[in-house]
Amino acid sequence: MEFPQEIIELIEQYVNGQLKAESLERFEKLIEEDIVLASEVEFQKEMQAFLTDSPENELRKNLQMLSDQVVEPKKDDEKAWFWWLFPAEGTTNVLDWLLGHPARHLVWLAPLLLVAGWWLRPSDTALPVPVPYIAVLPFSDAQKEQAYFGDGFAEEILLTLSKLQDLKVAGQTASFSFKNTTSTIVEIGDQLEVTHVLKGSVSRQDKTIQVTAQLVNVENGYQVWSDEYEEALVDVFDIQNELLQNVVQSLFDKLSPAQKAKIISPTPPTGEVYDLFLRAKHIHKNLYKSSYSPTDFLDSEKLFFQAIELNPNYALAHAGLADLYDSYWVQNEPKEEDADREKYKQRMMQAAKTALQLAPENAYVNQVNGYVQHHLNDPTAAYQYFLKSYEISPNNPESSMGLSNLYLGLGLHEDALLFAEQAMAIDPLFRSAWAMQIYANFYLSRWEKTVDICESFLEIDPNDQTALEYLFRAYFLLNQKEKALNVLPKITNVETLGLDLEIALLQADSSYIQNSLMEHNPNLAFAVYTYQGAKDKAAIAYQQATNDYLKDASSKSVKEGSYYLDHINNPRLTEFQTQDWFQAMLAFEKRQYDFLAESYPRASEILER
Amino acid sequence: MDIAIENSFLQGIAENDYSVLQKIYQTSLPEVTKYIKNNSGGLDDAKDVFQEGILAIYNKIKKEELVLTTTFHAYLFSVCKNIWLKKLRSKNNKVLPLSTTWGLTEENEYEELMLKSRKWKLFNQKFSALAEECRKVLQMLFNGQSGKEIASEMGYTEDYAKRKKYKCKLSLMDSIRKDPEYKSLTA
Repeated sequence: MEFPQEIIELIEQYVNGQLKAESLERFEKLIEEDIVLASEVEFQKEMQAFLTDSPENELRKNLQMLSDQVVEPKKDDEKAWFWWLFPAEGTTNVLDWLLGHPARHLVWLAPLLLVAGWWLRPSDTALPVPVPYIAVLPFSDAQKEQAYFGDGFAEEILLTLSKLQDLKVAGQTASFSFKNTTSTIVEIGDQLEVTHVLKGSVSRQDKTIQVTAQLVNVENGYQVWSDEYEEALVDVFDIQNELLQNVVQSLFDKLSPAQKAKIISPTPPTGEVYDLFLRAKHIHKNLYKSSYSPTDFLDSEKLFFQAIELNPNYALAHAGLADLYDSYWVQNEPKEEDADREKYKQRMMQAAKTALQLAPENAYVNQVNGYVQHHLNDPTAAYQYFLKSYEISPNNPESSMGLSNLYLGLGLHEDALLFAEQAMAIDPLFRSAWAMQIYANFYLSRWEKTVDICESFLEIDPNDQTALEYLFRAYFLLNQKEKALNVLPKITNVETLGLDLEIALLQADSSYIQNSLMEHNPNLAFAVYTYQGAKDKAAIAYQQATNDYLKDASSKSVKEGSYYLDHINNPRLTEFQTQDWFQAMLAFEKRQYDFLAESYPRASEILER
Repeated sequence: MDIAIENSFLQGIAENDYSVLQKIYQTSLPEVTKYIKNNSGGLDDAKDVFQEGILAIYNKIKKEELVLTTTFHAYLFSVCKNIWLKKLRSKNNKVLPLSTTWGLTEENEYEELMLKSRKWKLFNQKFSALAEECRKVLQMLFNGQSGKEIASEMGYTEDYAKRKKYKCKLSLMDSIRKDPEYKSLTA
């Protein structure tokens, strides 16, 4: 019979003499009446007596150790395995000894074999040991309405495995794209080009959870390992810890202490808190980030609050909450007297700080702090957090993307691109990495390349709004009028994207164009005159824009980044390169660029570490 | 007989002095093994009996009931011989003569000693088979550390420490109870 936790604790207190008089009396009465309880108490007393560090037990341990060292002595007539090395009694001639036993031929053969072996050695003396490459598929959930749990459980496993430097982990977007697929594991593995696939299922009933997991070798389709777990829901993290250990052990034949330290969570949340966290995160990432609806925001916030209320020390819940506020902060442009924005900013900073205090070595916590500082315009702090997140979890594409976003903001577009490519190599379907490639190439004025990337991504998702927007922008700048106009109807929120002038020019909306020119905004005038081919007017407008910009430059902080690369590569500005006013602006931007490039290590340097 | 030398063995046992214990094993175990092998036993029996013999002496030292009137080596041999005879007797259900050199003729004392040794062995074997983390948690628990102390030492929350402690304990109890040796011990 298995006693509940409360009874076992009560027995513990009784055995340790910690029960107060009143409780002791009641408990002793219970023992007298209940024979099963009495036997349990006896058993626990005995267990404690045998396993405590008492002098008698310590003596037993030493005796056991000494006994274990005693082995059956060898029989006198048994010869040692190396008996043939020694000359038989009376042998004095070395040659007789050498030829007296076949094994002795080794004595003169061994050096010859060694020399021959060295001479015939292959050019690559050791074959490289292949690094296992694993894909974690979303765990199916028997309850469809709770699919977030299976996805979240698999995501946590994937993120944890990403911490191991000696293991490659396929990105989440690519792996999760096989959800509900009819493909076989081997087919999935082949498509993802991984060596192993981990798949499983979760099923919850009342207060228990069952998890099944299976690790398959893609090369031969054989199951390397599989297991079934059943636990109280409250202990779901124990399953996760055990499962992770088994997977790593199966992949590497053993689990090193360093690997164990990286994958085991010493302070896991209870099942209830974990469930709240996964639901909150699911609403934030999958609903709010598509809809930006206040309802989704508040639902997610409420669940994070509940998780934190139940376990104020759960760092990931604080980080998740800060992440949610960060999404709100980025999404909501500053308006006058926006009390909510300020309120959420304060909450965001507090939540990020708390998470960091609780788990300073967690990749996600550092990543969230990086974004918070990045969006609060402190790139130096953001860099430290993003870099730490990358160092903790180099195989997680989110870590590379943190640095990529920061470098893009600084105007170090080439570096931003390298980090994005690194993320893409891990997760070919990772949306943020695709978007970053689009942005970086666009700002580097590589508009043909931008078109290529947008079109490739639209093959995967024909409705991706970032790809459609930048495809439109790139076609416009390449003067491909028809193509740009064909893209336009597919952009849903066109009015919010600031494309009015481009649209007016393409549609020859003369009144809108005229009004733009009346605004005396030299940038708008430059766009209009360039489109119309009025080169002289365009040059005058751009010179005006440049002068305005340089006048304002004294107040510009280096922190804000550099537009040097944008200006030097832009084919529409080529003809101004020889002009003094353009040179002055380039010199200013170059100083900014050089300062930033020296202040932050180059992406190649970080990626090669 | 040099009383001081002989008593140093007793002191070594009382203080769990590893080097003294090692010396006892080197000097006395071969003779005990030889005797047991000549009397229907093997090396493993000899090792068990030897351990039990030293523990019996330890208990007597603690109870201050032991005064050596012979060499330590001879005394230990006699204790081991009696334990082995007792074991043989219970194994074969035959009445064999027991020496009175030990000074303990009460049957219960032998019974208790052997039962305790078997249980200790089983409990420790199962305990050693637990995961390292569980062993640490339970060791702290059995040594009287509070849930709070366990949580702080292991880097757990208090709630988790409680659950971990419970789960580890259940797993240990379960493995002990399922072992056929335990069933035979409690039959």
